[in-house]
Amino acid sequence: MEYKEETTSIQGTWPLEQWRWKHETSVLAKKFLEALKDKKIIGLKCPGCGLVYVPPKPYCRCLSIPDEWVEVKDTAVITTYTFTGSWSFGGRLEGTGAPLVIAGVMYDGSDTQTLAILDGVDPDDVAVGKRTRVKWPENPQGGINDIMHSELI
Amino acid sequence: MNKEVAVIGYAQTLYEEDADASREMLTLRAAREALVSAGLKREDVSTVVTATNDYLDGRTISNMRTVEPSGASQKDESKVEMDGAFAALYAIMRILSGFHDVAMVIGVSLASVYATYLPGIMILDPTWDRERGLLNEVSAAALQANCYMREYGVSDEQIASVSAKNLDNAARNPLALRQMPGLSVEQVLDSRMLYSPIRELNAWPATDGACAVVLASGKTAAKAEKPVWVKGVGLCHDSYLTERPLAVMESLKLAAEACYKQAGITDPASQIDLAEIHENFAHEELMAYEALGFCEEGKGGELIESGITQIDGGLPVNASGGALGANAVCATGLARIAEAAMQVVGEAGDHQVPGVKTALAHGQSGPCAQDNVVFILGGD
Repeated sequence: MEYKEETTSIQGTWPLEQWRWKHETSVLAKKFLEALKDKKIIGLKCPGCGLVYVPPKPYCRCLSIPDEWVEVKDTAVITTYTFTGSWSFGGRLEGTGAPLVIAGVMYDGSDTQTLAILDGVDPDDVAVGKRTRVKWPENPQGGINDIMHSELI
Repeated sequence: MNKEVAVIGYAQTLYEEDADASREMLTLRAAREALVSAGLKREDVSTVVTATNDYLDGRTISNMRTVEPSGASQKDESKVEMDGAFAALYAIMRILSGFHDVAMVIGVSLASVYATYLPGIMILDPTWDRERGLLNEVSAAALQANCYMREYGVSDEQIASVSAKNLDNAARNPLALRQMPGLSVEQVLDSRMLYSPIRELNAWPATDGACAVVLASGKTAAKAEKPVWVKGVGLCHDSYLTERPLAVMESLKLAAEACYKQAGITDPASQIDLAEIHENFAHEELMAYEALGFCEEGKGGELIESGITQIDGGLPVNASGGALGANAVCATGLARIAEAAMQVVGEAGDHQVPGVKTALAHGQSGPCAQDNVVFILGGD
């Protein structure tokens, strides 16, 4: 049997608009995203183990329900990082230009890491333990991309 | 565990970049060969557990088609959406329940049907991480690697040594996909950078293939030609990658501790003769050395430099070439069990290590090795 030689397409539709997914995170996300409009980052603190989740999450590994809103800072420490090489990722990203520097950052007051792009940074200058600050857009739109970019301080 | 469950048969298909076969046909080949290896017929199997993943196949309930080719038609049959090593634990539990005598476990996938590393996105946090597009399987592993390297001062060269060792070992394994005899550390470091510090030869190769393992209860295994006993098994899950320290494999450490307790292992480095570790990326093998207690925390780089884990060393790791040599997702951890059993039986051919009595097999699942399962296998 030859499996490679032939591709057969069969037309079909999958009406995803009829699904109504339910995530508790989406309720919390609204408050979190709304705060970003005021250049504020908020998270949820767990009453059981004290862990602060940013972005907020309604369930903790200790089986408690984080329910206390706390504001964290927009300054952070780099926990880890990477930068892109010359790689085409699933045909979507050609890493041929300047390397994209991606860092795991832990905002001051948070216990979880968030991913951020470090702008205008030489990859050689990035190190675990260095500090960053969010590069806010002039008019934050209340989307997760408001805190997509950070810079070294 | 004392002679309650044993591996009595195993089979792997040839691992290929682009197999001229469907997933179902690879499943069938592995199942048939594993039965031959066990000296059994389909009628002798009472329960079947298959390991596949919908997101790898791009459609839901894709495993409904693995019932017939796995030999499970009109039998007790169950499915695991993780690596086959987790399916093997499930099968062991079914046998230990006393309701089943012989179990067939199969893991299979075809990487040639999807863009390499792309499906890994589907296991990320759906609310934030998928949308932002910064994380994928390789960039996540790169974050893990950098975190580990900076914490303990592990070098690029030490990580490249893992690739050089495993891909050279793979050249002795006729089924392995990426066979690179005599590969040097320099050649690994010269390979294309994907996401710093992960280079092409530090990352798993897109692989088509299947692995099947036949497990039996103590009573049946005692009559088998070459039973390899399951002495211990440990399982542990960790939190999502942004909610845990990435410099250590805590869940692997806890899984190993549970496994060693059952198997009576108190000094892993001296009591274990050979290990098959599921290292999707080269640095994960060094992290696993530490979590498995082969060396102290942070000393994985020094252990590879000592040569102990080479195929002719005191504790060979991944004599088969490991996941860097071939990684048919969902079959990879199960293949570690098959390889470990094969070494105990003495059937590993050119990559056979002499005198293996006790072997360790490890399987992982999830981004940055979130979930881990560890087995200790042994002869009498």
